[in-house]
Amino acid sequence: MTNVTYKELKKLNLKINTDGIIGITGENKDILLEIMSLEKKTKGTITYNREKITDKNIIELRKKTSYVPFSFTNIYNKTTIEEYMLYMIYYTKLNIKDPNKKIIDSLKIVDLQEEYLTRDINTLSTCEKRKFQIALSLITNPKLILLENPYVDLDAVSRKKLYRLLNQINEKYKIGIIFTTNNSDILYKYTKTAIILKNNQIYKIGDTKEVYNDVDTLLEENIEIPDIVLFTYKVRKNKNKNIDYHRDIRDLIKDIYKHV
Amino acid sequence: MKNNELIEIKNLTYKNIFHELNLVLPKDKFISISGTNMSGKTTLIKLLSGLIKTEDSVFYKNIKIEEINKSHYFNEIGIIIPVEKQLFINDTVENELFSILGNIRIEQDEKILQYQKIIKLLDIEGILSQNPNELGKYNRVKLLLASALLSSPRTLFLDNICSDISKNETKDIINILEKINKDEKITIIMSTNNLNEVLTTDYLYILKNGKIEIEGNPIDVLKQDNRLNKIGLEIPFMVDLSVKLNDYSLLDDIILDMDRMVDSIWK
Repeated sequence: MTNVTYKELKKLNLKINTDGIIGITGENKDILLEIMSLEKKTKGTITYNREKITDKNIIELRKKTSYVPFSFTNIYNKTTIEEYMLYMIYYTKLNIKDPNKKIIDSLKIVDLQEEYLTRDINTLSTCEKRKFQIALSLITNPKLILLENPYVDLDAVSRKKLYRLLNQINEKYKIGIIFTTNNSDILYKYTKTAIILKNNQIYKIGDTKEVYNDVDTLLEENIEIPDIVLFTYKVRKNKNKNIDYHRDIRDLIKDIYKHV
Repeated sequence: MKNNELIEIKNLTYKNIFHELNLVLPKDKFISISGTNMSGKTTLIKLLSGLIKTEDSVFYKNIKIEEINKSHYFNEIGIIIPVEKQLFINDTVENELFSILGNIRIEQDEKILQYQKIIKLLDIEGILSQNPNELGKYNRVKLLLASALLSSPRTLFLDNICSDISKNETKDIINILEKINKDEKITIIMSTNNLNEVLTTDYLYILKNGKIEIEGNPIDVLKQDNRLNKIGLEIPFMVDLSVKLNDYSLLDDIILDMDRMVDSIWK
């Protein structure tokens, strides 16, 4: 992205590699996600896989990105998962040889077995609904999936399941995963690359652990720090103990044990 | 019902969610209810507040909850169950609050005082001229709280109101709720799936498959890491750290403050 401007976000410059899960946090994070979806007309230049986006190729490229909104809206007014997915394929004129197989395959990837085909969408739990939304996004064979606040309203077990699922989609099927969150703990735990927005600009982008390396500056800038990072920072600063920044609390405990 | 009791659930059976549930909630306290997805939290809030009708199972101050929602007790309870695409009719926050105030049966001078008190309590002076539909999530929660508090309810039912706001903003909201509870003596009954929100509440219930699985003082409940992990809940970082350090005999207490924790490990 070079000099991209849309809504509140001005003159953004950024380059991302979709190898590994990417998380975005900060004010107007969902606007950045909207820009990436290519659905909106933006100023500036966006390059996608070395291909500069023009009015001509944008329609094709849009098909390669799927956007998963925070809440599911039953736009086709269908009852079961199967009806909904079949109608979506029909309505959006997707060129799919065997729609039934495609549907089953997509559901399988998100770990929803065949019995879910006849499930009433209204009876799905929050976690199941989110999986279903991801299955829907897979129908178009995207190269990139953008998820709006996917971890909100999920309990710890469902979060872990979602993380494993997104990771698998990224690693096994080589589909880029970018999501937004306003929870720094989730960002720190579940991403390889982090993007922090501030004052409608990209404030930081890079390897998640490195992004949260400079705690002093982040604190000055009033940016929310993951609990585990903040604690480690205080140990290093107040007690001068050389404890490493860990993602897992068990590793932190071992490190503390070595240093008391 | 005893004097210090507020709500009693007697033998409540509802759909496949609750089966012969019995529960007594105390008065004037800040009570939290947590549990995983599908544990029945939201349904319980709806049942307790009378949004879901039951027959002779829920009593509020010894009166059937069905009666409470009728006009005579109109000001008795406030309920906030956020909906994703809820629309406000008025064009500014100020007008929104005034239109709610218009429906409350108190004297005009009292209305002004009440309005000013709520604005100050929630610190929303700065957003009064904004369009309520264009507020950020944090200010939206504050507006919902302000709307519910205008009628001076005695009890506030809140369903997962901090679910999509940041950690610091959540702390702010919880601080406001504590203040409302202590200063105004308003009973608060709040459901959440984030155990960070319950740390400073008076009493915590953990629901699992429609049953009260654990209950008590929040810290005592949160210490039971194995049980909570099994249920599928995430233990707040500082509690988790304390419990694990206890296991290694590096600490013998639960400490929520980071600086104090660091000082306790390296004395």
